[in-house]
Amino acid sequence: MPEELASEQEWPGLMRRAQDGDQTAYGRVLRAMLPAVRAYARHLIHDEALVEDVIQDALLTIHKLRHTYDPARPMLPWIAAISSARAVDALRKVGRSRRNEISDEIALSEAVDTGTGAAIEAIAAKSEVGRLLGTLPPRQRMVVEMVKLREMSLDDAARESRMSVPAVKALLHRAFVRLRDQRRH
Amino acid sequence: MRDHDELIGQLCAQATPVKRVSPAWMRATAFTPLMLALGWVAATIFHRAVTGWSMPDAGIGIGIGIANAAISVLLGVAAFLRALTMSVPGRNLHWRGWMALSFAAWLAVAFSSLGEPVGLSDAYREGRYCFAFLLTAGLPMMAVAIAALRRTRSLTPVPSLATAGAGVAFLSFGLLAFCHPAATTIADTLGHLAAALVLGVLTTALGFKAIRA
Repeated sequence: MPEELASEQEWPGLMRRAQDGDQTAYGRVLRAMLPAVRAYARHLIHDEALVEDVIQDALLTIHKLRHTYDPARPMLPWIAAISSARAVDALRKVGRSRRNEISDEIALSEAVDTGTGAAIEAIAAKSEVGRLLGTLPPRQRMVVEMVKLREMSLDDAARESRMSVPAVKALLHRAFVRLRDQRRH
Repeated sequence: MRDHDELIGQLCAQATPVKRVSPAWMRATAFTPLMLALGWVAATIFHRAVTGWSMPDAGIGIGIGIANAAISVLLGVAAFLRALTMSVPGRNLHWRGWMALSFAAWLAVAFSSLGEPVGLSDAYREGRYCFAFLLTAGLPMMAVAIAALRRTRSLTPVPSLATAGAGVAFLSFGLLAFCHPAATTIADTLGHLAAALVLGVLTTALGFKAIRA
């Protein structure tokens, strides 16, 4: 049976014990504060995978800065500041990688077009597109249709499918690998 | 949702006892005299046999000098205290209003002492002397400020360091007030402000990696 989470009133006392080296108290307070950390991260970020990354970062930061918490004060503002800072950092990183992805996107489309683009055209000529797409799992089929048939950009496809750009790229890659395999056999 | 139990387990295994940081006012009380002392020792490179307050143009300037020193040190301590406070997650001192007011008072004192200094070298008139004095006095204070902030680190290192840099600059102004002529030139006053800007930028640049959480 899972352990009951400590109430918010217990957090300062548990953290005080954690600062004194009590590992059990530390584990209890970290588990108890997880929902709060998640809520603060979700307040700024809507991508669930990124939220989970932010929680990990926030936990590491809480560990690194645990000596700065004053047990005489409420703990939520301290947690909120750390979680929000890590969420903002994550958004900045995503922004930077998105900017970098513009060139990657071009490189990817070029790389894909030289091999699989030609392959898809050849397949279309033989009226096999529908059959081959039918062999793909639904999510892979959806992104291939969006990016290759409807000629949407990766950003647009990500937005419409409510996935991140890297997730769309990964699905595309897996779809093309599967299509290549289908053609070989 | 990912299971974070593994990470929590690892963190618990590393949870050795830690020393809680003292309240910011206690740290400011401990560090400020040290900063002033080190700044003063460094500034003795520029020590002059005759201080500004005993110079021929002193007169009413004694009052201005004392006001300048008092406001500068007050602003320096307040800015340093604010930097120490805001470096702790979730804490801040909402002193912007009265710090702006104090800064306005400082500017008023600085500009009210504009005049025609008597018997001063070109280095003084052009602000070179004060610029060098402020940087020399400020550098050791900057090192202490960064070391003090490193204890807590900061989630927002740039504002914390910029505020600490402002504190260092004003404490340096406080020291300078004890060996500065009552009357000053516009170039000299601009030299003071330029030195403050350099101290702020240097504190931020040098301390960023050291205190970033």
